[in-house]
Amino acid sequence: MISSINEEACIGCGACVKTCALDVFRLDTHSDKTAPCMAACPARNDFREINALLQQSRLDEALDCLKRTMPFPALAGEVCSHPCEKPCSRHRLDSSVNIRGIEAFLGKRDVARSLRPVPRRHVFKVAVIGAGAAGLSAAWYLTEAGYPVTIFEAEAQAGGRMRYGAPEERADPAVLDAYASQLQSMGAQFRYSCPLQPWREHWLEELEDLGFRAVVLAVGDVRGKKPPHGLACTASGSVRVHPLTCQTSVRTVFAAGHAASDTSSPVQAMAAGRKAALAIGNILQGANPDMGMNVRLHAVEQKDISSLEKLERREGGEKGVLPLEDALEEAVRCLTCGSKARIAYPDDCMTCFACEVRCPAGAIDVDPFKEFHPRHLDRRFIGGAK
Amino acid sequence: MQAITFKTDVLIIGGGFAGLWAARQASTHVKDVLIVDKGPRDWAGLGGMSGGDMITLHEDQDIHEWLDEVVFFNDGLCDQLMMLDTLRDSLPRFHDYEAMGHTFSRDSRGRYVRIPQRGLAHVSLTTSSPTGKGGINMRAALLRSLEGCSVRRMGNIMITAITRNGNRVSGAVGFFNRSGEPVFISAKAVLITTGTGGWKASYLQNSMASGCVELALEAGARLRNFEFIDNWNVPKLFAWEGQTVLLPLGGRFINNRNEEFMAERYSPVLGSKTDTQYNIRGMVLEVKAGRGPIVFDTSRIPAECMEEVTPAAGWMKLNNEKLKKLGVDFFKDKIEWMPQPIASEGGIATELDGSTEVEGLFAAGTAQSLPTGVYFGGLSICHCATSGHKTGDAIGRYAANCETPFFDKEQAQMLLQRELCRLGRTGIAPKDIVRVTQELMAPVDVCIMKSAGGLQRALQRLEEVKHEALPRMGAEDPHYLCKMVEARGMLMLTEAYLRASLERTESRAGHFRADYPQRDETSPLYWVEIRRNHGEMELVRVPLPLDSYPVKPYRYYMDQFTFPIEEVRKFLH
Ligand SMILES: Cc1cc2nc3c(=O)[nH]c(=O)nc-3n(C[C@H](O)[C@H](O)[C@H](O)COP(=O)(O)OP(=O)(O)OC[C@H]3O[C@@H](n4cnc5c(N)ncnc54)[C@H](O)[C@@H]3O)c2cc1C
Repeated sequence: MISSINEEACIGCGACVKTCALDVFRLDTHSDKTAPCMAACPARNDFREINALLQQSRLDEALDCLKRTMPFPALAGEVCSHPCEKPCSRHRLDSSVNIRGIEAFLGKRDVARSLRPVPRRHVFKVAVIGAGAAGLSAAWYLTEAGYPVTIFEAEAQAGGRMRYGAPEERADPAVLDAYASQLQSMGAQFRYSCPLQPWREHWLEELEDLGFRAVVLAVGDVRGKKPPHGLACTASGSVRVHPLTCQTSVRTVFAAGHAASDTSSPVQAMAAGRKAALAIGNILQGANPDMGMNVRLHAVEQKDISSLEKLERREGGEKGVLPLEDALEEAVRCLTCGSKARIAYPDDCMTCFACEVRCPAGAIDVDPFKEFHPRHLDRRFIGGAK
Repeated sequence: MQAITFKTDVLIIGGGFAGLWAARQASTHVKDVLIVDKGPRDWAGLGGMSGGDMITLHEDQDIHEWLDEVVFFNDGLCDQLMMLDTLRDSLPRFHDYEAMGHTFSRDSRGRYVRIPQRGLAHVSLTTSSPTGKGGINMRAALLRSLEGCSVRRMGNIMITAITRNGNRVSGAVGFFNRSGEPVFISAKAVLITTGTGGWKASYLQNSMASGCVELALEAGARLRNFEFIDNWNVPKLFAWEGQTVLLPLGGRFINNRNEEFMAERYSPVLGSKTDTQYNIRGMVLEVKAGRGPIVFDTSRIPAECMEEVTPAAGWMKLNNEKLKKLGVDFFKDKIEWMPQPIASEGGIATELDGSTEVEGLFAAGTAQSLPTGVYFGGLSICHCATSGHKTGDAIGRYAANCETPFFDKEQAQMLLQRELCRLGRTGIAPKDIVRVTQELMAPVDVCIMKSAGGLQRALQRLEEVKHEALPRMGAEDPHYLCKMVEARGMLMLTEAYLRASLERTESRAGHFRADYPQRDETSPLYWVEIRRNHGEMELVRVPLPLDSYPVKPYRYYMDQFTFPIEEVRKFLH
């Protein structure tokens, strides 16, 4: 009968959860330790949690979890270089988890969702200038939080560099369209072919007069162009922002993406857009802009995993998108670094020892004495006197 | 209800050894085979825990001698054509295993080890090497052999019903058992390789009631041989695997007077070297006569064999070490043993190619009816390979030549909603149903020395449970929903067992009736078959087609035993 898990020794790899045929174990993924993939991700996507959910076939929850930090998984699956895969613990055993493929899989489900209007929860409007990665991301999180958002875009369609940039920067236009139309169904307003000129003297006042109480400036690279009026810039000419909150020198103006950084990948831009949205939410509700945003990272210690079963990495199908069964299996490869296993359903243990044999950390103890079963030769069952 | 939908050519329910063998073969004919299993995707069912002992008819052995002996062992009740296929195909499958990289044991001169079974002259098994890793290695070999085949595998999906379109299967429905997400599967053909399940006894019978009874009956298939169960001897307190190897080497069951009671009283010819069913009958009579407890004595196993029988790897090694630490020495101490009903030996009645009378529905492995309660070690691994291979071939060919039938989503939704509506409901715990069922099966007059009185009493209790407890079952979460379906499956399996046992009013092979201790020589040999009729189980006696069988039964294994009538009658209250 399953007896105990030594919590200190447990490395959270989930070997027990994954192999117990009676489904006795569960994993606790909440930990003050940051998994290496998350630490390396510009957006801090929590793939430990996402994979743990996928291991339980909780597809919707996995997607929701990803969406908390990554508004456009289908785009990230395509345009991100996935630095998260590099430090993956699995790398030490066979090969890193195909996080890109999993993200693309979730992304495919994500764009297929039809979204309903988000109930409006706030009076004050927010302006987002530029519908590139940063602007769309900020618009997404603000809209989701119930702010009325208007996106001003100079071009005729959304996407910024992901649509109009160099060929290697471009994403599937159909996916961009899908996300733009999702945003629209959620309630965000797009003003296309509407170049707002932030170098003009009264641009901020004009927005304010229109009812906008906060602005996200996400117009892309501004270096060598006319600087935005009234905002402090860095030596190189980008808008100067607070690294945590993206707040500019003007309290209600936030800049994200290339506008505020000399280099910016689409995922970095999306991460910045999200930060700007959170910070705007904070100030519009009267809090400090950085409330709840200062998260420290504590790396997970590396432990010996050499005894674990090697599993082949699944590469994606079309456009790197893993099909459902491969995505779920790829998630099973994840070692959920830093989690802890627990005995969730002891009533079903059959004393087969598989968990103990497979645990690489020697953390599990199964007692060889099994559950009490009806003793067929006991007086009660054999009848009469013994 | 938003369901995850799969479309496939061949759906295989159950990724145990039979399912894996079938998938491998079916994939040579169709573009896509999908295996779903309620357990982890890669666990490979019970086979992965097995010893990997395999009945194999080697080149120098005579198939007719073997068949004659099997018919004798089964007291005539043998599907001879299927058995012939099984024996004939055992060697090619054995070689397939080797080609996949699996190793079988050889003696010092390089010959395959052959361990005779149950005191029989011919039938023998070949063990896997090294001891303790047989099943683990077979599992790995099978999984490797599937690489590159057009086979998809999905774990953690519980199948709850097979869908039909007229008399033609169209797929199945189920749910992810960790999330409750609905799953619909449209398929050209469906193969049941779920095993038939059992009573979740302590012999590592990990996968309990498999739902096979419910799946098959509801789909319209016939069940056969449900009066036969695998009664197994186990140490009272812990698990020990390897009896089939220990007995031929000199292991014996002895009573509290140190007598090898089987040899002493019940079968001077065979002693303990017999089928478990017979040993258990002896055990029961001994205990009833006050000569219990029964212990397993290994002192006569020759010293040079000790290395071979001491677990060297896997869970058995761990188990042995742990027991030693707790002061228990399996080979030196007097370890008390007890019998347990482990699993049903019934199965789905099929043609030789695994097809059933429901179009597009097939069965293989332990879900297919073959043994009749007496069992020689290694038959299961062999039968899973032979029937899996053969049925896989047949279902692949079938699916390659037909269109995908219409999959009725509304029907599918209705079938699944029956289960999902229990999710989140507080109610009687599945484990309690399991416990009640185990207790209901436990009395000796229900599972070993059966009698009409005992069986009726159990049936009555079962009906109570069915009507009072079953509808009140609840499932707090998807895990328990899965366990709930399993528990219901176990109840249905038990009902099939009790009804079939009542129907067979004689004793033969693994079936012993204290009120009918003799063979029924007046009526021709028959199978007891079960089909569904207006929601109830209908039982029919179907005569064996002896005319088409090569062996006309003329000698009977059971005749080597004498269980004194007056002792047996003590079990008729
Ligand atoms: C400890 C042990 C040792 C053994 N040693 C030997 C030996 O040495 N030699 C020998 O011949 N036999 C041995 N056996 C028996 C043998 O291993 C099994 O009988 C055989 O492996 C059964 O294979 P199967 O494919 O028919 O069924 P199973 O292995 O039972 O596979 C059925 C599969 O179906 C799945 N399933 C069931 N219901 C559903 C459902 N509703 N939906 C989805 N999936 C479902 C289960 O999870 C399981 O994976 C041993 C058994 C045990 C337990």
